[in-house]
Amino acid sequence: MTQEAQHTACTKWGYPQLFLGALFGVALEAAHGFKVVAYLENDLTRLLLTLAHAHAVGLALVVLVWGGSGAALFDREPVALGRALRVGALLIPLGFALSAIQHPEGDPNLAIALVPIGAALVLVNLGATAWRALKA
Amino acid sequence: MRRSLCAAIVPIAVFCAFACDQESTRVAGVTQAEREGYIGSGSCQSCHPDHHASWSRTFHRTMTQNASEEAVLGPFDGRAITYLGTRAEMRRDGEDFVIRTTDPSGASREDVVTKTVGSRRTQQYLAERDGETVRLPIAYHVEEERFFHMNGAFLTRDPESEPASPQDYERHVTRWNDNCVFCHNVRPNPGRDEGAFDTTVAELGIACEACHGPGQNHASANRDPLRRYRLHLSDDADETIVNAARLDPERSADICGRCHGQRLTDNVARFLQEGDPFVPGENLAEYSEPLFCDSTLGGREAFAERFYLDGTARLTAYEFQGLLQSPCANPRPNPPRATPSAAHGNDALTCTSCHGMHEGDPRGQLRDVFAEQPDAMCTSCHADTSALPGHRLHPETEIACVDCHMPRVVFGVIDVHRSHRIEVPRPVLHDRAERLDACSLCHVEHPPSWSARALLQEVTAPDTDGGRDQPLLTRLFTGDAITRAVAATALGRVQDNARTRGALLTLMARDPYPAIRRVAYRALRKRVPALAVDDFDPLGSTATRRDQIAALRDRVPHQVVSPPPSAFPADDIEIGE
Repeated sequence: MTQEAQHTACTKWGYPQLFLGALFGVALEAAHGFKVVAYLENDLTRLLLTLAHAHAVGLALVVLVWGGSGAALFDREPVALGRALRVGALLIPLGFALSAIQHPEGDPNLAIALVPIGAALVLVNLGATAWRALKA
Repeated sequence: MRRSLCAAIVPIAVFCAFACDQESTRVAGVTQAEREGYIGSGSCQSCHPDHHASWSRTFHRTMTQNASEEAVLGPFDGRAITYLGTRAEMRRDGEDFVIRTTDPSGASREDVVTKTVGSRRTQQYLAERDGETVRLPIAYHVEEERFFHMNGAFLTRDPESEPASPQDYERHVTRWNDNCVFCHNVRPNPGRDEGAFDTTVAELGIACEACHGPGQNHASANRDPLRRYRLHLSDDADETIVNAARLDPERSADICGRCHGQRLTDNVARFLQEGDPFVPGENLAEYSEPLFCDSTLGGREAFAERFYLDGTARLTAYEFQGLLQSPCANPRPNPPRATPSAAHGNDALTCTSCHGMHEGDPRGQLRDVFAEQPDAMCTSCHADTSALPGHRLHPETEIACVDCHMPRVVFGVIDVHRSHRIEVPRPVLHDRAERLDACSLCHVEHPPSWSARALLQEVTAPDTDGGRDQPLLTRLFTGDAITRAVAATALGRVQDNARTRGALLTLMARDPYPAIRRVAYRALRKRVPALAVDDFDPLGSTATRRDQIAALRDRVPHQVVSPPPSAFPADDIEIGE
């Protein structure tokens, strides 16, 4: 039962994020293809948006994998851990994307603070899951 | 589990070992500049990519470069030029750029170019000779795309003999270590020790730290992201680096004045042994004083020829002096260093009022805001004055404020430039100072007294006596070398008619200074675009030039102009640098 609830939650979260992340990637490719100056002229902007795309897709897959197998490692339904992963998987790409807007020279804007917060949430989930996996 | 931990620790250990190795390598090879905290423009790029990019496109960056495919602009493809009997061949020898000279006796020498200086108008070449770095006698004219001899770069006469003596041929071979190095590099140090040189620079060319000061403390401090974001979100200055925009006008101008204002120091020995101690943000006057017409060297006024009689600089690299003499920067009248004026205070004009080091066309680097409206440089402060009835005698679409208040009367780098002494045009007074006035640069057939009367200025009898009050078309021949160069260049911009073309042809044929013949021919080419650069060689032999002038007289419609008896004064000035 625990596995099924988290599986559903992660599936409902993961696939839409995977789709949006992939769609964002296509948008970036289009920006390359059509030589959109606002995207190409600033290396840091391009890096941040690329990181946003990569993390959106990658973390969506992590959410799906964890919902499919990781949650089952716990005796009780890991509700908090599941939420931490999903929120973290959202905050990281969101932080990268938002921090690319009107950033100071050489640094992302303050929205980049979302990234370490999201990373901490994801790591809590992955750390706990890894621990359970080693104990299993 | 243990295996996992090992897998995690190994990369960390490798990273630490690499980092330690980098540090030890740097310390082992530490230079004076590194000890003083200079880290190079490459270290600035990662955090300041926009500023690095905007600087990279300037001629400051390429002021001095190691000789390379990218840096060397002249085609070293075996082509040669012969000047007064000596042949110079420019060719490649593997990776090297070689200039081989063969004099009339057949003796030859090879110089391997190690560095280049300049990249906009001309590019000079440096080579090692007897443990010193010297500037070679052959340079490349970037705009004309041809090599030329340096005798044609300065206001000096043709050598008296042809073929020239080796001394004449190498007249402008100068030592880089204690000359050019000071203004064309970051933190230069000639490193002179008992006559020998161990010259070092923090970075070749004019890079970030030339204007912002050493960056090591800044880079170290700003590895802390919290510090960076605190600065991003506040208007506080970062105390670890110099930002000219936050300096008062005087200190800001000092940064540019270090190179754009020839200076004198009381402690030459220190400069030669340890380098120029000035660091951006400091008071330049603590270490050196700008040269003025009455500056003395060894008790005698050795620099008067570099100024007009009214003290206005007539050579480039004196822009700082021009600023100091300008009412707009009145905190520092001549002699400089007075108290700030009530009129300007901290809003006084400084270099960056008009020039942007990270913006604008690299040729001049005027700030973007003035690209479309150059008059805004003046009207942003003097809107009331410019609107006064009768102030503007010409349409603003034709004549800008700077055309009258910063006339082109300064010679340098085989070109004529604007004076940076901002002033009211006073044709008669300027004529007394033996300089061409702003009005005459366009009204070439009228004397200064005519212009003065048009400006409702008083003209007295002595102003028109004693050989004074000549129109530009006469001063083109009777003026000193700089006046002739200024006049010739002016003819390239205005008044295209048969007489001005004839006057330029006569100047090209008769002037004893190759640099003046060059600027005269360039002015003629502006009038007659069909003429090719190679149709006239200002440094060609007398016979060659005679033939070329004859051919040009056939092609160019002109009125024959004969120079007056007082043309080309025998006691003319010669300025080698």
